[in-house]
Amino acid sequence: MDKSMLKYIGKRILISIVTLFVILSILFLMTRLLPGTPFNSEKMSPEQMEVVKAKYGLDKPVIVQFGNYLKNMVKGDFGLSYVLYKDQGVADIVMPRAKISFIYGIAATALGTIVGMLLGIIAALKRNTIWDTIATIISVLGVSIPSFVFALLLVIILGVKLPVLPTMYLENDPIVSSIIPVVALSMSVIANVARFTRTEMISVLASDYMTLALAKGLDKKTLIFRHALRNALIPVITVIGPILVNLMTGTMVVESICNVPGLGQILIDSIHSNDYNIIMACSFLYAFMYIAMMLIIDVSYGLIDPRIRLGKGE
Amino acid sequence: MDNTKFLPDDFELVGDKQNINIDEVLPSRPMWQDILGRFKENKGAVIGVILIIIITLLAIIVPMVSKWNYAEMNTSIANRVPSGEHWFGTDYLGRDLWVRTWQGTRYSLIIAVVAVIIDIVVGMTYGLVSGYFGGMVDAIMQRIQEIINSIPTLVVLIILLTVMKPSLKTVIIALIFTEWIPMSRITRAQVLKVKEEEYVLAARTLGAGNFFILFKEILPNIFGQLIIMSMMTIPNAIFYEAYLAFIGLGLTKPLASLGTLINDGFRLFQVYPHAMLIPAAVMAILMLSFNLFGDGLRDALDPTMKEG
Repeated sequence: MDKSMLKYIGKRILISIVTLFVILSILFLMTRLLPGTPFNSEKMSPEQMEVVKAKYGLDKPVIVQFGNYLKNMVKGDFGLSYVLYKDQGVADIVMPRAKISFIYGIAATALGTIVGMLLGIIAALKRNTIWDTIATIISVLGVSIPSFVFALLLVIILGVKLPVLPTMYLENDPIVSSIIPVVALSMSVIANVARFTRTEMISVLASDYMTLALAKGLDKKTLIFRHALRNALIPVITVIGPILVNLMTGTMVVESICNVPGLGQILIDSIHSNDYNIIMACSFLYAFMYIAMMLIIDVSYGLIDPRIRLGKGE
Repeated sequence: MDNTKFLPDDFELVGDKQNINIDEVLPSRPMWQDILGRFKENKGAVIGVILIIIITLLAIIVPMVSKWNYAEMNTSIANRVPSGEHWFGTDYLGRDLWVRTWQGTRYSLIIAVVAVIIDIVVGMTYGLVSGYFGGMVDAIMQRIQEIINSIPTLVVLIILLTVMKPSLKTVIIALIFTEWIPMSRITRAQVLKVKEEEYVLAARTLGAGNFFILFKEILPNIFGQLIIMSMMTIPNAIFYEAYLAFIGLGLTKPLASLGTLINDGFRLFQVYPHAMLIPAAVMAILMLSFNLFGDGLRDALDPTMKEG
């Protein structure tokens, strides 16, 4: 950790905080300044409306509301739900769901990375054989077909036609209920990782140090595990971050199809019912995870490749 | 070794043989023929093109000639499975899905193509200006882009969703918001590479202005990359359209796109899976074809970029 690295990390954290703040302000302004309220305005008299607004602090100027919101947010209070879960704290509603979505995302990435790496390694070692072709077909399909189509097929085949897996989330059996969504989500990860691993592995196998190792008389196992794999997998680790970020977008639809009580479903519901605080909290969580992920990716790139942190990468 | 005697027959005159390398004369072909030749060798890409053409033709022709109308409802025949009468079955309002699927494909294609064209124009301009002028302009433009880029797509879509009513225009705007950044990045990277080339220097020495250099010297040389990029973006656009329809930002009824069809089919998909599976399959095939086509195009236009 030298000084330039610390400076680089500091800069990245600063940019991330600025971005989060920009996102938060835009979201806040958009939801508050728009016509239409979360309350059923036709049934209420103007006086009742005033009372309700005062109760939630919506009668104050927008800038004051924003200040209050920020102040409470730091304390972990994301306000109250207006419509979906009348007067419950948003943090209590959103957090357990965020946990499920988060675990699914991590599980799908882990599964996809392991299977994808294996596929990619096999394809590279047995280049131009049937194995290679199979791996290529799987990765093309995985990249092109959206995760929700996989979810759909799995639910219909494994959940409805031959009912071996539940079609919805079961409180008492979270692991079995997670199989379909996690597998569906992991398909694109498998495809991307396999493709990347194959390319890396092939270029490593063709490199001079592999020829040298071979010339030194190392046996095949040491050759592949000690020399090839190690060097091929470092770049692969760096692409997992962006893949995880992409995955987050797909989770919402997969969650609806598999009836998972995650962030996706409640976000869609809250948009349709103008439940501002839930929209804000969910979007903020998504943005936070996304930006944190980008930060980790950038910093790890910087650690691996000094050219980037010194600003000479481009 | 010392005892070895050489006889005259041991040697033969090599002559100039080694210097006489007869060049293999390839017929001089225009560049596009070269590209076409390489493209044709790629089976996947050819299949992709054929599928794209078939799907496009079906999307154009079927809604014109079919005896069913895409918006015509008849609840007495709701939720029929595929049969001789209704090839893809009917939906929950008794509308014929054969016509609706192709009508929907038509809208999905229109949305994707329009969005990608605008993406190219916006992204290309941004990338060209940022890459070509460099320095302070580049620094500011890159910082702005960095901040926009770190807003997750989902949040951009939510913001749009709160501001605008679902319509064709909204969907296209949403797609532009999410896809122009990669386009401008590619352009900028290419411009940085190309602008140091000698022919740009030559043009400048001859007194060409920035505008001329940008559009006559740099742009034609990076156009191949942009075409590849746009072919890769179309499947993304098709996917995001479906995604938007799913979170409630789709086309309004009775219009249909693949996304809204999938969303409609979702209500009853455990009982009548065909209503959701068929449009989902068409979408998957379309995305797959565009990806194969894009891959083939990349390899054909730029053989040096070929993977593995």
